[in-house]
Amino acid sequence: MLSPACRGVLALAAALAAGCSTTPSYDYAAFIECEPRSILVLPPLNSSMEPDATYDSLMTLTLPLAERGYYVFPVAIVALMMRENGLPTPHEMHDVPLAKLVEVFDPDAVLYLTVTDWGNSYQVVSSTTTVSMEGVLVAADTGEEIWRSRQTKSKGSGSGGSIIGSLANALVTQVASELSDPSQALAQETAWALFSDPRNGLLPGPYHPTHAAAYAAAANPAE
Amino acid sequence: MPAQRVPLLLLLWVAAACTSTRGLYGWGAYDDSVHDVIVDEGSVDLDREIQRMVELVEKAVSLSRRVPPGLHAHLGYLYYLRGDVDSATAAFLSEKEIYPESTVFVDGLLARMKGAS
Repeated sequence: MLSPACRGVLALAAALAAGCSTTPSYDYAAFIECEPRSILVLPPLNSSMEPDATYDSLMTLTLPLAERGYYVFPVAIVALMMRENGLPTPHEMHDVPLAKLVEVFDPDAVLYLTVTDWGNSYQVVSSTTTVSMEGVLVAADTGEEIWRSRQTKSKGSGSGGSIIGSLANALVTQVASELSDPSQALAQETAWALFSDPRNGLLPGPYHPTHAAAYAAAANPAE
Repeated sequence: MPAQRVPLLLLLWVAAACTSTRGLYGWGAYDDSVHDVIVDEGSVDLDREIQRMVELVEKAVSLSRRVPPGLHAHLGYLYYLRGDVDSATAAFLSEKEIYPESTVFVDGLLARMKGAS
């Protein structure tokens, strides 16, 4: 937990950031209208070449989403319950009507993800590990799309660029769980960037110390 | 321009000072357990998974940290798979108590568990 002093300073910092930033381009109107507290993550669709990417990626998603301030339904139970109810693959799970998901889980929003790249690509002299994900967040009560983004991370390139990026990476390292597979660690970094990008990530949820300040800033981008 | 830079640097410094301490939750092996439970369904070592999650909860409590969302429910499901309905019920109720967002979900789990046993 952050100390109250730290929270206060963070809120101030968020306000300062809002004052300084020049391109709050992403339109959060629908997101703010929904103001989700809880997010149901369905096992991601997988269009990569790696057959295991659905569940290798699913395990990496809870941490960055919860650290963004959201209640995240336990992804393993969700997946097992759906399998038990005759939905063996992510495709069938993604086709479940929202009303049914609301009846069983009662989430504020449902996150539909697709893993588009996962693993190594071999060039002449080197190999690069790449993970790409795209996500769509839907308000559970209306079915309205309230957020959409995509993110790619490659190991050995792109890291250490911006200071914000390094800070995010440092935090991932700080709170990281015990992931041994380098692709999974990279996937968690990708998910972290997808959800927490200051330009087009999810607004911080109610458990995040900057929740109120970020909502205020996003609601009045001109100020 | 320099006038704008000062608050930006202050922000970065503050962000570094605050965020580098730690995140909102203690995570331990939750992600690994999620993976093992899904991928090794049927052959997963339930006692080991339960042990890992119980340790995680104890560590979080001893450090006065929040237990991550979903973890108590995850633990409850492991207890349920092992046939320990009492421990499962207690863990599900902990999830609901700490995270009221899970109320409908947990009540459904409890009802189905009661119907199945």
